[in-house]
Amino acid sequence: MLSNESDLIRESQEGGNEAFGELYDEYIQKIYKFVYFKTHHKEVAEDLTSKAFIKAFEKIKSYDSRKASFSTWLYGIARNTVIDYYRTKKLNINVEDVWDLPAKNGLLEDVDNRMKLEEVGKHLKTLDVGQREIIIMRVWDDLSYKEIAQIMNKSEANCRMMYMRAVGKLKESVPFAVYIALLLNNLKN
Amino acid sequence: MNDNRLKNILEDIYRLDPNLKEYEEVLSDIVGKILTAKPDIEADARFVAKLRDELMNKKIKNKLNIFSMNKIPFIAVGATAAVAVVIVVSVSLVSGRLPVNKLTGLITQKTTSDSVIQLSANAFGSLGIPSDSGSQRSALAEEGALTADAAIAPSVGFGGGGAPANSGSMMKIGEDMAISPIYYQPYQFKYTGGDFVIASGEMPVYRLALNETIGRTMARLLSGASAEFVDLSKFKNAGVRSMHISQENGFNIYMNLDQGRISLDSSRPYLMTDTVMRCDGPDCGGYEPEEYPQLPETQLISIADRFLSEYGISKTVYGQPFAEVDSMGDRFGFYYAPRLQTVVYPLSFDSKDVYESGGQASGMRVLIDAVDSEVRSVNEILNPIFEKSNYEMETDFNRIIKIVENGGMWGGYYGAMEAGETLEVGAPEYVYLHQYDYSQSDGIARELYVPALKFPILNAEGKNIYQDSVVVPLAKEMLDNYEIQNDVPMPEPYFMKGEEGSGEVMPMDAMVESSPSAQ
Repeated sequence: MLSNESDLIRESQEGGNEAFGELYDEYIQKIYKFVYFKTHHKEVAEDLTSKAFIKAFEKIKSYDSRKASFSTWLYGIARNTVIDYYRTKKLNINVEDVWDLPAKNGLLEDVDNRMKLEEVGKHLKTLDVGQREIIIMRVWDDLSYKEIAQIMNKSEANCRMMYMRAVGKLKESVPFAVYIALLLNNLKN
Repeated sequence: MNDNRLKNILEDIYRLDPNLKEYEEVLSDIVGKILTAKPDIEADARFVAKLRDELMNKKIKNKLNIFSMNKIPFIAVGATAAVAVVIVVSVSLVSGRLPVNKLTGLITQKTTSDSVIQLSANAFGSLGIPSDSGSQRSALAEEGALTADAAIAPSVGFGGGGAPANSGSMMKIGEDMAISPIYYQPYQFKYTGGDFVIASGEMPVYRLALNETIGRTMARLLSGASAEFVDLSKFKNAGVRSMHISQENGFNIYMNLDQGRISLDSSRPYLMTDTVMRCDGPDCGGYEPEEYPQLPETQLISIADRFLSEYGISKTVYGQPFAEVDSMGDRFGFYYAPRLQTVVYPLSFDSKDVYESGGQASGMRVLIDAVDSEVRSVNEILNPIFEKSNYEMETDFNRIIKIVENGGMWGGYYGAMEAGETLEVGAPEYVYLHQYDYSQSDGIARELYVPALKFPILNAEGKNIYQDSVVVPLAKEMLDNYEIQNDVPMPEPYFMKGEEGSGEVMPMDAMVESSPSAQ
């Protein structure tokens, strides 16, 4: 977090474009990655990131630091933008991120990362969307439980619980034979 | 994969549920896979810069928000003028002080460093080569793949609003056509200055940059606001071309967004009072002439400067201001001080002012009411963004002099009082000439500022001529085009004899015989 973040926010709320520019510089990469992890496509991620920042710029006056940190507020906007994106695609299933999509979904995905993501996708797809979000925000985005809670509009304790359950479920996603082998290996040690 | 990162995550998991520690191998494998699968991505630097630029220039929503944030109610009485692209909106502020100082931001965009966008040579297309159609390069086009060929670009016309210059489509003036009779004898022009060396064979031509982005953004915002009697959001790909904002007891603000200009005038009904309806000139007949004090130039400039500063109107593209007087009235001794007195801020490029073809300064005009010393209107507030491209200039001074001695490209409108009367023209100075460039392809008249020489008329005193100088463009293509157009056979003027207004005007026999229209 920037040391003068609250000053920059106040200046932005008073119409200072340059101040907003500094906030943008601080968060653009984080928000882009956050969106990318939910879309897996460069152009879509760029488009949604643009929309998120433009919304943030236009709504900055409504931001209230007593309710959430600026980063949480920004992530929240980005998250809603992604959800809106999938909703406007009018898919027959309830989708909030790319992980919920069937393999041949008609939506674009970057070829470069497809293989890597397919492997981890086998595990993540066993989770419900909330659990998956928490895993990604915690493991990939390195967000605190407090931040995750504010972004998802849940209590911090609830998020911890969801995270724990998600991890437990991931544990179960390992094929039974591999699981036994690992256990035996543990027993040997 | 970062081992420390994995370790931290696992510790975090065990803090939540220590029992999970017995599955460390499994969890380590899964979390490791998740960490490894994290796409190693960074937002593209170009995308980051472009979005930043967009945000930095994104003022519209914020400025419009000023209205709602200040709880100033306004009624958008927007009218959809054309389904395709044009939405003309008139916004009337019902109460409160209009933040005019903020409004200039609506059409004022920042470029990365300054207000001039450098384009490649000949980027505006031909300045005079005849053509049938074409397009022009712009800053936008240069960024992309568009490579307009100068040979097919529209040409700058002379007079008549820039008609196409090729003989195929030009209106022919032939035997069955005539031009209006004229009553005067044109002045002779004689250059009396010394030799003059034209500095360079290539000089920059400037063009007022046009940008539809602002109008389109404005239309998008307005379509969101949506009037109840029409759903503006249904008109896709619309752009606001112009807006009229009216402030109660303040100003009307006319915003021509696509042409990048704003003008203001007082919305107070002072012009409709009896005082003003009375004649205020010297030829008032039975009316009582109204007399107003002539405000000193320094005072006028000071009032204008203060106003521009108060309302945040940029002066960056203008040169030294001056008070404008009716030069002809002044020369003939019938000058009287008008109620609205003008300060001109001449548009200026490379420290050279811009002039119209008749020698009048081109730029922003601030009109000050001599009665209360208040500013009543400001015209030609330009969005100070220009494009610049080098063009070949004529270095043969004699060729320029020939045009000067013809009274300039647009000269000859004033009648000499005596036959053979000569206007002496002195040594020139470099200026820019304001020239419209009408494009047949998109129907838009763009504004060019072309290097030119301004020759002062030295003995205009007491002469029947408004202009005090002759301005000739230096762009070679414009001179070529002028000569091509002047090669077209013109009918002889239908000279009349007798005194104008006497009722005894008759065709002069000799002239009638030689007139094509009479054959």
